[in-house]
Amino acid sequence: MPEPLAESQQHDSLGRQLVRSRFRSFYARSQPYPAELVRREFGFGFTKKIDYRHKSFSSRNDFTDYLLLEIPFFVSYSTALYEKPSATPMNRKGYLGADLVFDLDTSYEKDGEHEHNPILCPHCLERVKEDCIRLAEDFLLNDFGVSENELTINYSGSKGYHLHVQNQAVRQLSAEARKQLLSYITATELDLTRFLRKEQFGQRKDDYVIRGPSWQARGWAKKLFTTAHSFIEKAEAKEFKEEHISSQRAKKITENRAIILNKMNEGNWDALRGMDSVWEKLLRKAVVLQSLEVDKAVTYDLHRLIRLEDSLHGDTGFVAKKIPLNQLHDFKPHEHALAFDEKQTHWIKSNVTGTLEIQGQKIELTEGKLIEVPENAAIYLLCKQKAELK
Amino acid sequence: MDDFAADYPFSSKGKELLKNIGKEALTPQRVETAGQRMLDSMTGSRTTSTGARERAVDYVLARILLAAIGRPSATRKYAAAIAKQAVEKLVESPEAYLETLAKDFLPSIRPTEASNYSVSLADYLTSGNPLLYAPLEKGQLFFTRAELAELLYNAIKNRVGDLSSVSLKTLPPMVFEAAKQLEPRLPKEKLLSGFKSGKYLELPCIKAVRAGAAEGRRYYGSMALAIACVKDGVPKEDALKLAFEYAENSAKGSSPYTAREAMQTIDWVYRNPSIGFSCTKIREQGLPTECGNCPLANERKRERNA
Ligand SMILES: [Zn+2]
Repeated sequence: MPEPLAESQQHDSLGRQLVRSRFRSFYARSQPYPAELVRREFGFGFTKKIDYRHKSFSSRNDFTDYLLLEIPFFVSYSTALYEKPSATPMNRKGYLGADLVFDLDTSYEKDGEHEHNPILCPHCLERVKEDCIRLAEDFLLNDFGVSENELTINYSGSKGYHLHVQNQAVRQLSAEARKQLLSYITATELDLTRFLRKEQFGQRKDDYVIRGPSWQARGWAKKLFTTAHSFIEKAEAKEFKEEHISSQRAKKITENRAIILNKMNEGNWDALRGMDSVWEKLLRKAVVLQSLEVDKAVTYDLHRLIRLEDSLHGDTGFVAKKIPLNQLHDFKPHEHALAFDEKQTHWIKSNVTGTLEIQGQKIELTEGKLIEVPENAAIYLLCKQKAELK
Repeated sequence: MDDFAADYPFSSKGKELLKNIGKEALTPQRVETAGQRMLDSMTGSRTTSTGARERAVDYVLARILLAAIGRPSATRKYAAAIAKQAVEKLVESPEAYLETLAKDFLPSIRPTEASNYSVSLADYLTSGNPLLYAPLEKGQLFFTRAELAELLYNAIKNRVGDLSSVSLKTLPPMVFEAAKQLEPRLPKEKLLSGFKSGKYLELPCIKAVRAGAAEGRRYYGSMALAIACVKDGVPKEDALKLAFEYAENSAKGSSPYTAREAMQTIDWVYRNPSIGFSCTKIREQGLPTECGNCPLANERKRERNA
């Protein structure tokens, strides 16, 4: 493996030198490492996310020495465990199983609820975090039965979150099985017509009843039931209107609320006739509300490398910080994933105009203008190539 | 338990019975008989009853022959036949057989009060059954006896049809010779033979759908196909074959797409045949269209202008 450090340093800009020196001091005081380090393949990035891979270490010390010597901007490791992690090609590594990993980084730039901030967008970060909480609570814990101590959640260091599940059962899951989990989470193939069926009980045309999920349902049937049931229970004029349900229909539903809900509990979705289009709307709504978009390849590709938890992200200088599920709600990357001295400041020349919200401050940047900013902001802008150090 | 092992040669008990089979099984005569019996089971004809061990050897040889033939559709057909036989046999077998067999595929299976059986998620996923509609809660899935039998059907089909453990390199030339003889006698894929497609099935967008839809569009693709079939007056049986073909063509993606899903859409549309064929919907769902070249689009345009 070539040694990228010595040569590149000579050509480093002032900004790059600052980033490198701060990354070095970070790794001098904090040395992240993954579980079962000796069985993992590592990848390191100096100019992009991964410049070198197929690297392995025989001990935690070796790994730390490497970090301190090379100061990589990106550190990734394999979700898989191998007999010989550094062997190439892949089939010589001796695959032993892989953690189950999910990567959430859905773009909410155009969600219509906010004016997106291209410098750093707290709203987008918040939306992805909500997805992360839902993935952890609704799917991993509730549906898949993962226990909280088998689950590690970390901020990706940039725009998303990673969830790692480590236990013996998931380790042996095939790529195919992981795709099944993804298909369940994303629900893109969910055929809603399967959940409501006409049950004929007599000869006449009208002798039927529409059967659907009951309160005892499980899996997606339960999710659909919950959304539809709670809508019928709580909907007022505004909610009916939002779902394009006519006011006459809404009136009928409101008048018969109790009976509809009671029957639904038993799996009878036919207390009121002519509800077909209402049910269709509510089931679709349930899928939108309860499904999630995830980066599929990260989960099913058993040979993927993923950012090391608690390492630095070279595009932001933020820490890919591990966060316990019960603290995730209050976690804000631009306040809580900062790696550097909050009191130190630097002069920079901004390449962009806009607001950077970081470390609890709103910094107004003007293209071409010099400004003194906290170190975390300076490193962030330098990593993003949105500023030069002056 | 020899009967169990012979009836379910793909189970671990079956494997035990087969442990002591040496090269002696591989005589040209024996391979030929096994090939004939394989064809019989694929076409659903009953093979004359033989001894437990012999039936088990038939199974081993059939899979070796299928590996040598290398035609996935034949393997699937054989696997489905074996799975069907096995599940049917469960009905007339002692009660305990279901659980014994189930344990083989789903070691975590437990009887529960309300719904008969529960199975762990990891086991369920290993059995190759789809998760999307499964009754999942806290890492467990819950099944009645009948549902468990269906689950086993899929699991058996997957195990029998997985020939990755058969090493072609170690097979003697005689097996390939037998495979060559056998191949022309395999049941032909009846797909679409004698089937006449109509106006809707010939539309450019539906032709494209028939060649397979991308992930995320597969459900709507099957819907469009089903509606086209109804409009063209295609008998449901043929529509199901088309759905099967469609599912095969659409199977690629990060999550599997099964023939069963496509066939269910056909079922539903044939029960609700009044659904209209909507070009807008097809466009909205992102299915490939070629409306400029489409006779239906042009016809509809003329009607609007008239
Ligand atoms: Zn945004």
